Amino acid sequence: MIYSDLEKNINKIESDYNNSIDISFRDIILFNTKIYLVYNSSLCDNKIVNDFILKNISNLEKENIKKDDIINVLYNTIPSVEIEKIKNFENIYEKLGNGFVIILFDKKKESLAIEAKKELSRAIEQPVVEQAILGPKDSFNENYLDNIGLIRKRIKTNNLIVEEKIIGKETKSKVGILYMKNIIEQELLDSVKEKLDKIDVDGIIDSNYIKEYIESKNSVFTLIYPTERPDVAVMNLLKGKICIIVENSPGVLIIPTFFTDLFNASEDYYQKSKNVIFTRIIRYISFFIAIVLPAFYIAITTFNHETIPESLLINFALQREGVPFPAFVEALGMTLIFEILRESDIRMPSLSGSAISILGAIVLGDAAVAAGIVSPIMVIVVAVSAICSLMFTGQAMVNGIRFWKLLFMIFATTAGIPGVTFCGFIFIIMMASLKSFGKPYLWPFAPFNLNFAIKSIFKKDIKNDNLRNPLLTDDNLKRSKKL
Amino acid sequence: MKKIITLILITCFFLTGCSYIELNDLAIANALGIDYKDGNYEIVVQILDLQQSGEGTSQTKTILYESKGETITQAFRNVSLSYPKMLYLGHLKLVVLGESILESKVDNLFDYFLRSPSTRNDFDVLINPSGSAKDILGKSSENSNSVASKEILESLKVSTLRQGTTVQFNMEELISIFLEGKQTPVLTSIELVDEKNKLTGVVALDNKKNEFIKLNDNTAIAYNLINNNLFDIGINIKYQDILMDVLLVRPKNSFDVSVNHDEVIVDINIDISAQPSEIREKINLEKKDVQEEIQNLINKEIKKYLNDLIETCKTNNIDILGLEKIIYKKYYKDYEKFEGKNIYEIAKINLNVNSKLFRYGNVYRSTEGE
Repeated sequence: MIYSDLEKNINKIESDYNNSIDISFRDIILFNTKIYLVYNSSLCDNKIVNDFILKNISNLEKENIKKDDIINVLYNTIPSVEIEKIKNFENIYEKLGNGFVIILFDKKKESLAIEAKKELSRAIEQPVVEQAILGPKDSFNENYLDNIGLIRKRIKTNNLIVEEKIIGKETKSKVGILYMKNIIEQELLDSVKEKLDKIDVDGIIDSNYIKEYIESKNSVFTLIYPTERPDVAVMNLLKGKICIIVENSPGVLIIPTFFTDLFNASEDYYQKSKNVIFTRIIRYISFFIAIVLPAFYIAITTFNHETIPESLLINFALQREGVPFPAFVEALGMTLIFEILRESDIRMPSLSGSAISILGAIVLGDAAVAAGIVSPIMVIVVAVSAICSLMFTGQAMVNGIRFWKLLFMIFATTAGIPGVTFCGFIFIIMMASLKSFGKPYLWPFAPFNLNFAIKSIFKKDIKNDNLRNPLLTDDNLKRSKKL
Repeated sequence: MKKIITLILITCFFLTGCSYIELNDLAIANALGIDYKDGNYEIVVQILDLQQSGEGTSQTKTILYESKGETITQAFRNVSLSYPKMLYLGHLKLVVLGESILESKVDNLFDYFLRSPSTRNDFDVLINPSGSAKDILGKSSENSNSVASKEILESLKVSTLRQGTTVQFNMEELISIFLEGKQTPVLTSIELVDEKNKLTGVVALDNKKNEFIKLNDNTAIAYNLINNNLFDIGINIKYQDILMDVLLVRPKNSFDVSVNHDEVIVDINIDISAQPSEIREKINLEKKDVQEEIQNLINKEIKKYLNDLIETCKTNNIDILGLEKIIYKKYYKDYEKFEGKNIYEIAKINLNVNSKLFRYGNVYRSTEGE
């Protein structure tokens, strides 16, 4: 509880903050009594403090107001939408951390907290990872209310509910849970809230912290999809999913996520369905090629030589002549170099990015082959596999492909094509056993739903796509009337 | 518990045995020749030489290696005494048997190929009835610019489809005929003629007498006609004593064997379309009577081929059509009555030949006039 002695309150705040330089104190004499303004100068906008708080306080001096009413008068006169009466130090510190100005009064056990937050986040910009040619170009940023606003402006009804939780003992991060109350399945919502309540951590820096805490299994393929696009978030809310917005994080989490969601791009919904069908089929084929091609090549050149035509076999044998390493070592080395190049390209400043690409091409291409370290066919195999994996921009998908590619290669080295098949079984079994918040991950393929399975590959026209996913909603299955 | 089971399963998986071998450690055999001499199998293997081929060349070169052994397996293994890589027969395309193979049982060859998991048994089998397999493959390897056995195989394929004087049998089919024991296998013969490899027709391998029986071209054509092995073949007929070449296409031929009161009835039905390809007589193909006469001549010519086949089988007591096999399969209860007998002598064979002129080329009248 706040002390009635003003100086004592100030001393306590100073000592609790260890005299941090960004905690500022401004004393004012109002009606012959001292009041203190305490604020965090790194979080508060001086213009707001000067123009709306200090100016109003100074104008009040001219009014004839009783000393006892001072708190109520200030509460009713200061032009701010966020103004609160606070009685304990815990709340004071929370408000100071949120860019509020605290007004402490002498001989009063109550203080006022007035919002004067400085805009510290960046403006709404274009998405970095999930770029699209068609459709909206805005993306989430680190501002919590901005992110909620980007969704709110797209769903204008009162069915969009935003609940909030404070998670993180030190960071006190706001975590918003967004859902459509007329669509959502109550069991799903309760399970999400329960998992969030169980989080006991000192700080939440990014939405990924929440993601890792609430994901049921540590799978390489994500069970919760992070997005930076508000249109994607809204689309998923209308399907009956839940969005989680975390303060100071531009990634919004979508729960639950199905495996087929990783193959859909937001742009699919802004084009004709006939154009999208081909692209989606290519994505599925690319995924398959990305994880299986190097393993298949290793299998046919080390175990199952009879599976390929003779002319191809001769070509491969000619190209591998003189290469000192086994096929697996070659493939592993090339894949490793490619992954190093990819990671360094992401982290390199854009000015050096092109130099890295050229160096990589020269190293991976001509020089390695000319030196006899790798065979040309291996460069082609790894390059094709890598190009196919570039179809997927999401980091979760990239990591998943990388992991499974390596596993397939190990199994191919051990047992050839039967090994690749065995690893394929393991892949399907593991994926089928995954559940994202109780929903089967491989839906609509396992358990099989013909209508939605066809829809996931052969996208329907928007006017014919009038049904919601039956797993995500209790009784609001129809989205629109069929024309 | 789950982790233990997973660990056991994965460990079992890694203990399944290794057949890991790098591609460039293989001696990829393209063709194989087998002879038998003085109690030893002598093999000649045509291996793709990757070092000679090198970069920038589209042609692959081959080299020949010889070895011998008391068994086929030993002979194969002995190849590594002269060539530093492991012999790989998974892409074998051609096997040539020498005449000396009759000295050992031909069946002995089959056990190796049937048992070996690394061979595919879809390679073609030829025979040199007048020499050794080494003569044939040695000649083909002299042309070291290409895989010469490929030329033999292409020639075999084309001549079977378009000429009808050869047959194409792979090892799988040959083994099946041999194991059933109720049909005389036929193989294409390849011989050195004027220092060149040439496909010289068809031989029947009489397993009982252990000898080759050369079949003439007519018999070979009849065999291919009955079994629908042809795409199109040209035959000569004499229209008004002048030679006329006719192309036979679209064969829809069949033969059926039935047993009726201890009598074997064989119906051979030839239903084929014909197209005149070269006419040296004054003729107008628009006329109906001309068409009918030509059709009759074609029917007669085909019947002649079929009769040649039947006579050959009768005379030599061989069964190249597999009539005994059909009787065994369809009329098992009556089979004992015909077992060991010459079916072609006792059967009533009905030849139904129906040819139809369906195309006349670009002109109806010949260059000789009408």
